Amino acid sequence: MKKRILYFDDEDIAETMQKNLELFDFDVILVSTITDFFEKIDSNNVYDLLLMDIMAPVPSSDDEKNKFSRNELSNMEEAEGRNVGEVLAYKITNMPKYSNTPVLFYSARAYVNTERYKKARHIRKPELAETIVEEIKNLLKSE
Amino acid sequence: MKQQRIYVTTLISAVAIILLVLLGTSCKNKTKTKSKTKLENLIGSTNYYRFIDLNTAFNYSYQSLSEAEERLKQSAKDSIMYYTLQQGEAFLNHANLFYLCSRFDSAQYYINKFDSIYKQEKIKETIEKDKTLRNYSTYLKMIQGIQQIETYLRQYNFQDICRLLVNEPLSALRYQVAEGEVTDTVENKKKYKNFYNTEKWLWAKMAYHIKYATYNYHFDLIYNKEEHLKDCFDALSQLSYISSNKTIKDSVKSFDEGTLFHYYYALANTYRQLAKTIASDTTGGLLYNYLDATYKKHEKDTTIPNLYFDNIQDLLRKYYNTTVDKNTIVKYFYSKALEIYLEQHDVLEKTKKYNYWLANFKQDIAVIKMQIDNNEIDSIYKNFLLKEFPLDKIGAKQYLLDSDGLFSKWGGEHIDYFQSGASKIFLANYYYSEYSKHKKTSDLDSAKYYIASADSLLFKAKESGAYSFQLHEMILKTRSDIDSAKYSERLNDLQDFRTKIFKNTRKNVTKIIEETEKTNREKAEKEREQRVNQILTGIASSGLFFIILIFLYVFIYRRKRQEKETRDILSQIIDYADKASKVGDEKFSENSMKSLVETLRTTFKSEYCAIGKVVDDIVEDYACDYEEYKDKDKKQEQKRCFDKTKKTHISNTNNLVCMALRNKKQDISIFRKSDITPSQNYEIYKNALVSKNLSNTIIIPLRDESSKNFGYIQFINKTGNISKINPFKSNLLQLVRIIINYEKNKRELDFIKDSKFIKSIIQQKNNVGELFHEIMEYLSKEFNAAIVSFRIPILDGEKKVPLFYLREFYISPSVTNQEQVEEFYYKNRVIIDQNKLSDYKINCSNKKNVIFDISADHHYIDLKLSLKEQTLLIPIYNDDFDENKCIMDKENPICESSENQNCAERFKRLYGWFTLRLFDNSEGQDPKITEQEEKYFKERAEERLSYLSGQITLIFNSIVDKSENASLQVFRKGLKGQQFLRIKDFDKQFAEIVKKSVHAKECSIYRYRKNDDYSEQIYLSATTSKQILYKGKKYSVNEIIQELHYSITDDQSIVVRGFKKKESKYLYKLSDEKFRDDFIELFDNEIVFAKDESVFLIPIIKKDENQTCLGVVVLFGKEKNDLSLSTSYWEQDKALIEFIVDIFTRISEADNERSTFLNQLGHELLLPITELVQENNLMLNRYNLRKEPFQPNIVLRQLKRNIDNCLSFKYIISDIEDIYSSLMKDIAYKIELQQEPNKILNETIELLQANTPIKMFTSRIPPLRMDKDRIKQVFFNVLQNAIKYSYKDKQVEIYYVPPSENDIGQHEIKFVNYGIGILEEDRNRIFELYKRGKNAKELRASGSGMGLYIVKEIMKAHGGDCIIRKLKNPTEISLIFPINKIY
Repeated sequence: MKKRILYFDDEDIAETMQKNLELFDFDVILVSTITDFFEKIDSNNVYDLLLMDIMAPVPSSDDEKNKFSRNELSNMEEAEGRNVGEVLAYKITNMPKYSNTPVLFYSARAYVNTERYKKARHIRKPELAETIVEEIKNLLKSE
Repeated sequence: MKQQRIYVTTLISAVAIILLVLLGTSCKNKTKTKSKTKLENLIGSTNYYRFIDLNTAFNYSYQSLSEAEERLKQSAKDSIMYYTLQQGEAFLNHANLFYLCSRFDSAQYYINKFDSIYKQEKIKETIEKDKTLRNYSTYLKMIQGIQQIETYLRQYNFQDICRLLVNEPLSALRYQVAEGEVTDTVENKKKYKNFYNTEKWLWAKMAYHIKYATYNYHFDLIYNKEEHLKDCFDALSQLSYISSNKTIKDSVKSFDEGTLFHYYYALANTYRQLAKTIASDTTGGLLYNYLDATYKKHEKDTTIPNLYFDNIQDLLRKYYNTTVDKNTIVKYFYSKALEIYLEQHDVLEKTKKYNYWLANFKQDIAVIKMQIDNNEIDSIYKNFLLKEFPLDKIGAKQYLLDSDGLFSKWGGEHIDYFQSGASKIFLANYYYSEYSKHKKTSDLDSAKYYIASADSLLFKAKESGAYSFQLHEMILKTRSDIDSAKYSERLNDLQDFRTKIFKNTRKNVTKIIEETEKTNREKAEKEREQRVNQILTGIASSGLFFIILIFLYVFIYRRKRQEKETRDILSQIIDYADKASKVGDEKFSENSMKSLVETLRTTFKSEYCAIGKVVDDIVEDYACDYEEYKDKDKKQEQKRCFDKTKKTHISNTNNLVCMALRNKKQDISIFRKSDITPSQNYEIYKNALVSKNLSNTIIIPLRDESSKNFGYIQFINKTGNISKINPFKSNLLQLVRIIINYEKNKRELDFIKDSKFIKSIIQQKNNVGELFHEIMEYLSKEFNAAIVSFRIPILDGEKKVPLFYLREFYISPSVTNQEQVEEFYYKNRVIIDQNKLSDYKINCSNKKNVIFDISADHHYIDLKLSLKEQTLLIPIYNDDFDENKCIMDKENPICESSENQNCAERFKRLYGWFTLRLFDNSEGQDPKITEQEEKYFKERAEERLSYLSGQITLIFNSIVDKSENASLQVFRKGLKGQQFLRIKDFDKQFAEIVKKSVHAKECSIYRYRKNDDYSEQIYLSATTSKQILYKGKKYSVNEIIQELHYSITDDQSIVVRGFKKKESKYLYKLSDEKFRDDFIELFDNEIVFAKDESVFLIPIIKKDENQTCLGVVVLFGKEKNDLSLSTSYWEQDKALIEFIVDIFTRISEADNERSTFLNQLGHELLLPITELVQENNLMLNRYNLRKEPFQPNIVLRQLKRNIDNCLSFKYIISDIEDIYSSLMKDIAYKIELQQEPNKILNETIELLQANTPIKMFTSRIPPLRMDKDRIKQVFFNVLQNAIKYSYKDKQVEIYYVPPSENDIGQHEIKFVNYGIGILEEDRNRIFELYKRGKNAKELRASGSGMGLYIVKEIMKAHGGDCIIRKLKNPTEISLIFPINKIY
């Protein structure tokens, strides 16, 4: 059975990566907005891995804002969106349903603190799909 | 004549009539008054009756008060009779009530009382005749009923009785009758038939008590009020035993309105009353408050009895998070009920009494329980009692023990103590020991008696629930003794005794109390008598006063004569001494000294005399022989006594003499034997006085002009009457002065006229600290000071205001009282109040160099803390101070505010000062010295201090000019010329400077970062310590920047688990448990190395609105309990802290901005490249994995090249970030054990595949600890350089050099290329930022000069290095990875 990956990234870049990963037999569900992300998360689907970009626009609509605590919002606003992916990942992995789901950060950021998560890695953009696939396999293996 | 007679008769008659009339009127008036009084008395008595007998009053309360009074008046013809009848009625009434309340004992009591009255025939008749006594016949019937039910009582338990009563209509009716509302008629019987069911009946009974209580409450009737309240509560309790909540609720509903009202009212009041009583107890207090609130809120809707328990449970749960079972609560309320009882009986006032009662109560309960257990109690009461006192065995025993303890508390020796089991055991043990004793002394009769007693007591103890098997066994062994002691007889005696005392217990208590009171009274009387005697004695003594005056006059006259005679003798001695000092000899010969001593001894009729001299810090004394020891045999003993006095250290001498002086505020001091304690350390005369033959001593200190003690004269007398010497004080002083004059010439002061000493210090000492130390040491020695400290303000160069104060302490080695020194040490650390600076100005402007002040609290804060002590201050002036210049400064003020300007002026004059704390009287006695002495000392000291002040100023000027001593200036200077490329470097150097400036052992800086990451962390960015422990491993933090995870509290208060407040914190002792909460793991790491060290934390708080925390500077004290880092020290040095914060803020802000910019820049640059990479990657993968769509090879190659180019760009971006965003990268290392370094190397090689081939000459590099991405970056840079500068057709070679066999050394990966090589001069240069080799430049090869710099930094961070093994042909560059190095 194909492993299912929820991939949060900018649409333009993400599509090529989605196709790339599908070549390696992954079922990749791509989301580019926070609303979509939560929709997928709240659905009945279960994901084997979260592939997350970190930088994203700060939640602007009320619907999006309602998904976050005041503290989280202020953090994202302060960092001008440079940590949205992290906030999302942290939030999701704190849910019982996703508490064991591994996270792979794929971001242009030089450094991401992955120690806060149960299973997480970081790969700096750009990187070959093969390397990413290898890392995904490692994370899933440890699962 | 006759007419005259008539006139007279008439006159007399008239007078008589008038008199009679007057008399008659008077009589009439008298009768009227009498009647009035009688009437009043009558009313008073009837009122009295009304009030004293509430039942009657109750009966009459249905009518108006006046009518009731009228009726009472009428029936009060024979007050005594009436009262008796009323009493009888009351007794019956009470009996009935108690009966109905199941208080059978009380009921019986009142029945008996009534019987005693009723038996009087006369009264019986009256009762029968008197219709005003209502329902008498009913009462008689009731008595019969009671008697009948009494019989039932003996057969059934309470519930059965209730059932009986329910089924017996008459009883219920009786109740109604007792209430006075119905009469015993057939009609009523029918009417109330339905009333007789259990709940209603009980509640009706309840209502009766409630009504009474309410009634009494309303009318404020004292009599029986408490009783009814208690009855009310009792009834409630009884009800609670047999009824459920629901039943009670229903019952209440079925009440008629009036009863219901009374019920609620009384219930609420009962609760309040009870709750109020127990309000002193915590739970009770809660309960009271709760009930009070409930009562006020719902006056008519109070909770029902069982809810009472629920309420308590709620309260307990609410406040104590616990629950207690119902039984415990019941128990609790019973004990509280007892307290109420005790309170009512006014016994709480006396603790002993209270304890006694409480003990009794507890013991009673326990005994009851025991009786139940042993089936010693009638079955009738058994169940009832069990409900009343639901104690289990353990509970009963506990009660026994409690009562035992309470008895002990009350008075263990008291006879009632016998009652408790434990005490019996105790006594049995005691008797057993007595037995053993007597047995040993063959006092067999006594021994037998005691063992019998012990046995008996043990037996009795067993009855009370206490037992000792050990004792039992011991006693068993003595069975024969017991038997022969006629055990049974003794036992009977003991039993009788016990019964007796048990019966008399309470009597005894009363007796004891009475006796105590009696004793007190007697005592008071005695005191009164004494006072009277005193007064009398006073009167008598005033008489004696005149006689004493006469004696005194005679005495003084005699003393004067004696004085004159002695003065003559003394003048002879002085002449002799004077001559001796002038004639030839430069000093007294030993013989002459001895003869002088002898003369003195004889003159003053002393037993012993000695003159002590200080020679080279040793006391030598010239002593005469002690009279008693003149015999040869006793010489040895004398030697032992006085030997120690001969060689005593000078400090003791000084202490001694100072003490002598200060104790009596005069030159001559007298000590009695009792004055001397070993702790006072008066070695010299202690030894002498300890001798049993000597009693007291007199000390005359010998001092030179500088008040330094150089000797003493000591007299020791046997008789103690040495006060006679006092009148000759002036003569003795003359004598002393002769010696002083002699000594003066001999003794040269170390103090010198030129500055040789000081100059030598300056020449020899390079270190400022040592220099000051030398000066302080010198001052301490010179002025005999215990502590010398200096305080020198350091001025801000620009603002001319004092920033902080340099200060050090020097403690003389002679100081033995360390505690006092420490106290001074601490207390002295005070903040200089800027407002007090005017005082300094006064002192300075007056050019008053010396301040000698023993109570100068207004001058200096230092002195404030050392009042009553002698303190010298040596001011340090700026000699270049120019008044005119100061005026010029005023015209062109440098300072911003006028206040600062004034400060600047002041401190231009005065640099600082030395504080000399002279050796003081450490015993806390008044150290004040005489005016003459003070004057002398002041003059002398001023001269010397003035000179010293000038000299020290010279030194100080030279120090200040060097500007090396002030920590802030060190900071400034240290930081001024520095350029910090990386914030890490800044932190490292900064920590180093802080450490150096404040003399700390270690200094670390933890930087708080938030912006570049969602998480909030503290990073240890620099430290001067070599290693820290983190997650069980040691890290060399100088080399690797270690990340530590901490969270930040919501209120942004600093560091979290670090210190909870935004304030500097000084921790006296790191390992102290109480500081643990204030610590973070941060210090746990370092505690390993600094267990007993003091720590000082400076939070770095940005001065913005949010007061953002930037980090924390952590300083470790030099040694255990180091005081140099105390809080107060830093409070003074606020300027320094502010400076640190300022620097940090600026650096951090700049760094943040740079980081943010670079972050954004990297993101913007990498995103399009990512897109490119992925597109190309996808195409390639499609072909590789699915072989579609078909692409020619050339396209595929191009795709691969595109990807490689793009990926290599990632490393260039990383290089740039590494350099410019130092902080972000500082923490970015994720060093892990990489199993396959070869793979990492190969991946890099793939990226760089160009024309120059790269060949690996190693099969496998072993696993190494590294940050994979970083090392990739390193490989990339090194290989790129190697390829770039290789000649064409030459290959780049890679070798792996393993460590030596013993695992000592390092892993080395060597990169070899054949190319232009590196010039020798560039060997180090190429590792510098933006620096490139000269030949590389000439080659015009592209390059930024960043690559090797980054390589070196990354390798260093790994604990390794990058080195050039060979410059040319081939060029060899090696990457060194450490082995066995923890990082």
